[in-house]
Amino acid sequence: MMAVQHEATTSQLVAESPARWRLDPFGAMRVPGVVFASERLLAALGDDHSLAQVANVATLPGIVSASYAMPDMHLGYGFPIGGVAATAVDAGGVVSPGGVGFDISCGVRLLASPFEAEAVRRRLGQLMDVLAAAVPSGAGPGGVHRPASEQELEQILLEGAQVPVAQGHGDQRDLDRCEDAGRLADADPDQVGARARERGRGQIGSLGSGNHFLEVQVVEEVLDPPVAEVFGLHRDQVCVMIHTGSRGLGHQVCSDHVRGMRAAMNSHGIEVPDEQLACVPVTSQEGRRYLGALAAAANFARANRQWLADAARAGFARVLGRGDLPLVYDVSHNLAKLETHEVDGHDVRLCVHRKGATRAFPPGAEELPEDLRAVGQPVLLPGSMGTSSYVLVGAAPGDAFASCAHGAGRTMSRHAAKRTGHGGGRLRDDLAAAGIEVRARSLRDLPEEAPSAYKDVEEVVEVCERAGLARRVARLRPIGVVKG
Amino acid sequence: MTADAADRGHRTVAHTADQIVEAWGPTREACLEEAAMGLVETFADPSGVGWCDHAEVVLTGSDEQLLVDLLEEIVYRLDTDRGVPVRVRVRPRAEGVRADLWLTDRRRLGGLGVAPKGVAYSQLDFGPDPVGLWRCSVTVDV
Repeated sequence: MMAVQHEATTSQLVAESPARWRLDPFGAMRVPGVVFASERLLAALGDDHSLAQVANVATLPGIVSASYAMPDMHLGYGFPIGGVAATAVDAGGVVSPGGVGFDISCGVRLLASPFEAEAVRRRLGQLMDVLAAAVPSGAGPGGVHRPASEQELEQILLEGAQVPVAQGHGDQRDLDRCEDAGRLADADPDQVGARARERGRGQIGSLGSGNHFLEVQVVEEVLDPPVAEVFGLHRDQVCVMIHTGSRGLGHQVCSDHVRGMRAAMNSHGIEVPDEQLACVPVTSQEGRRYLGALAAAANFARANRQWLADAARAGFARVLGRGDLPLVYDVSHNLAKLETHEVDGHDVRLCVHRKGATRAFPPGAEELPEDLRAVGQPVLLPGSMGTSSYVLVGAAPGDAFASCAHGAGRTMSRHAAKRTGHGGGRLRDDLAAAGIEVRARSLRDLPEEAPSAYKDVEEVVEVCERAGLARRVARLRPIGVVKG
Repeated sequence: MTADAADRGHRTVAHTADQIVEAWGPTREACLEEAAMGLVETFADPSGVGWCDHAEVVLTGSDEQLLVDLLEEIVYRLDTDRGVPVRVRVRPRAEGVRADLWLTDRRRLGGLGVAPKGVAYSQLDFGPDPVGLWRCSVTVDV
């Protein structure tokens, strides 16, 4: 059932601070919208309709506090990319696959290496060749690991990164430093359909395409030395950042459950202003099924990144003689999770949707591993290809249910990026001249990920900090890119 | 833009992060055929590539559901190495449609572009326009 879609423009926004803007409720909005942005980032939104999506999300049954948008917001499906919304589980609050996105538990993993930049630079070309060959990417099947049986795939859906670690493809720190210790509880593989399994079976340990990547980076600047030390980072250190998710399996889970929810919404008396906002109460049978499938797909994503980390370590060992690259952190930016947060002075059980937004728990959060609890959760914020990425840390008290941006955020369509660029070969050469070795399967589509197609990551990070979402810890610059 | 007759064709349109496929044709089935090839052309150039396999897919549901399901079939086949269509024919059935897909191996298509991974219901349009030409617009997650 469809309700009327909202129209909204930046002229409706009221500045609460230079980094926090309010969209007062109108139409069917149950709560305000809140956008974290600078005036420049707001201007960059143009007419991409993402603000209308913020308003549409504010109509979801059971939504509390506000419909939030991070500084890297841009147009998504149903939810904007960079959207955060929480619903009260025990007050009819809904869960919506549109609030998670197609790529369930898409996320970022950062590995630290024992090498300084100079030691790697001498053999960078060879290292990138080896990594590009070792890390499957692009369309279709292909992964570093093929499950031996249907039972093993089932185990991956239930246990996530614990499976590769148990098989010797990782160590205990890989689990300690992964969100949810590498495994989301309450996974229900029975809710993952045959096509989803089939798509996933051949893609374990693969990047995919689009904006996914594996980058070799150097810590260029440490902005918070004590916290950086706890995270395991120091200046001039070489790191590896991996960005990918649950591949075709997660996409199929999203497609299958959106379809089921569209059919079920009527029986729950729910109307939404956008078909991709299809949703059902968290506590309904359909809601529980989706959350079970979501957890299973998230476990698949963590296992995927674990196998890729193992491949990257093997590549370092082969070229540089050492493959001990401890995990700094692994965190998702497409997920819905049941969390307890304070709302109007009371602790409330919430279903927190983060779509293109990163969880950013502040110091003291019980969910964090012991060694991180005193400082807060690492937040990994990759820039666009060829620009800096940031490691931040969740700030107290935080905002938007402890959430932060997830990247630079696109500002230009893939079409426009291709039209305005100079072709993939020129872009690759330009990046090489800037000291960045790019390995891409196809130069044709490389300009789609050109830095000019994205917002300024420095500005996004600045707004995150000014809005109190997270604090900067370290800035990393890429020296090698394997494009998905 | 491709048009093998004046009143049918397809093209891709800019979207901030993903791809929008637009297609049109004199009938619902012609429009579905164009949309299918429009999707393929977001990641491959099938022109001049022969087929080596054939599949038949029966689809039911609303017009919009037929469109989503046909495109999802292509995404599924790409992800599981079950071929990429180089030609599509869609015929009406009492309920829904039957689609014939003439398929090639993805390795015969050269370097593939950014892969489609899902079909969105957001901003999905499919139906006849005021002059009776069937038109669709569908956003594909990449």
